[in-house]
Amino acid sequence: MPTSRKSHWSLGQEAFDALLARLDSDREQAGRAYEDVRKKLLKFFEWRSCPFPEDYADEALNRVARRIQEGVQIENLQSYLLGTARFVLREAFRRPEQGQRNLEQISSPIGKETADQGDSETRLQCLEGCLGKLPDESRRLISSYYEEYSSKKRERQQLAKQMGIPMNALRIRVHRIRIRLEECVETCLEQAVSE
Amino acid sequence: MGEDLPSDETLVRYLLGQLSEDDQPQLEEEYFSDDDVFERLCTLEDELIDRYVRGELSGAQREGFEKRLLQSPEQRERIEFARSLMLRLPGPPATAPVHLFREKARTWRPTWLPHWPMRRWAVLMPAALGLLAVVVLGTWLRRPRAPSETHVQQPTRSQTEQAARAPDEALPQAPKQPSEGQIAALILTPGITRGGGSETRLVIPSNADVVELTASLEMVEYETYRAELRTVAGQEIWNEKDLHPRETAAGKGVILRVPAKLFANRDYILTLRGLAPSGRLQVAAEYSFREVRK
Repeated sequence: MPTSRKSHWSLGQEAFDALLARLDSDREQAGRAYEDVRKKLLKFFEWRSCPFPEDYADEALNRVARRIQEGVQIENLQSYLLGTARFVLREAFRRPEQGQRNLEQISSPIGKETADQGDSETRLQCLEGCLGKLPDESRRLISSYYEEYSSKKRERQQLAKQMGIPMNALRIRVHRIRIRLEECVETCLEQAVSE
Repeated sequence: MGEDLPSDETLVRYLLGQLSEDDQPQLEEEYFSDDDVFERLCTLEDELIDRYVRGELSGAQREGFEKRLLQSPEQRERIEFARSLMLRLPGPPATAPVHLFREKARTWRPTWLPHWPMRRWAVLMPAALGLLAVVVLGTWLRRPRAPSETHVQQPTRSQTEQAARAPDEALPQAPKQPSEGQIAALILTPGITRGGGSETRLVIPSNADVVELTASLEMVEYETYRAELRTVAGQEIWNEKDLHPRETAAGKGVILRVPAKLFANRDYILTLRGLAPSGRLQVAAEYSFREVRK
């Protein structure tokens, strides 16, 4: 977990509210914007090879929330968030011993637990259930995309053409369904572990 | 405006860590300010994950992928999800065709998809390859092999050559036609386990006639390998030469098909020797496992 030089500060309700207000005046919209921006930060740290992207993303958000609470004028919030994220990233890479600890905490990429057959079976059963819960249209689309139209770009372009949408739009549709499936499988696996 | 959008190629290079230090921050600014660019990156990441799982990435891409996109538990979880998805919704043959789980994939095919063709090949396995091997059963379409491909010491070489020419006759337990037989499969990771450690077990059902061993390699150092299967006492029961490493469900490795009847409830050591440019064979990896007849 990243530790800032001012780690005694923690995100309180007031600072969090200030951040939300800065994202959008409508509380509900602000909540969605918060999720969106957190996802971008998460991906930023993932794509920059950080072992604990969630922790780093939250650290970046906390720092920005603090600055807003302190009254710092921020013109472009997205840029400010990215700048803060880069700062957190530099700090993380400057602490090799911290990185090493992080790496030791996590299992190997080829971890024992993931190789477990029972785990794979449960995952497949969860996936089966989650596919069954998808609306028919989504289920057909994801099945077509992966099964009927294989992984060949040309074939998928054909599918996009048949659907009358650009290839990027098709990818995005499938990506969104895939995210729902992933979340559903994750929940299912958590339930399976707790049972 | 559209002209300024980064190309897919640029986005993929970013994901693989191949973008220059100058271009990287610029792209990050773009995806932070433009949701569409961000979403495109996410979809391309999905595709990279799928290609990784299917073994379709080139060496450099694979290296970049593993360095960049396999660092966090969340990312590795995504790999497992993709494996399941590929297994459940398999496309055409993967670079390294794998037979494991095929039986299960069929069994789990739900009723709401009756009209979709079931592909024969499945991408599998939590190639989290790991420390332990996974044993499963699947069906295996037996294929004739070139006579030079297999060398079995027991039974005799002549019997083996006969088997290569007429596999159905050589394996009497297998049904004649259609030539579907049972296969016991095991993924092996390098390292000898002796004593009380967690041993790797190969469970061979009584009706299995072939054992498929996937020997994963931490590093591919040779173009060709020779595999030798011995009992712990040192008796060689089987060997095969001219093996070429390829992408398997467990990463780079070699796939061996050994007649099940050669196994006899013992502990075995599989040795892979690499053929050095000098022509000498050098030990590249060793694997140990215990065979248990069901």
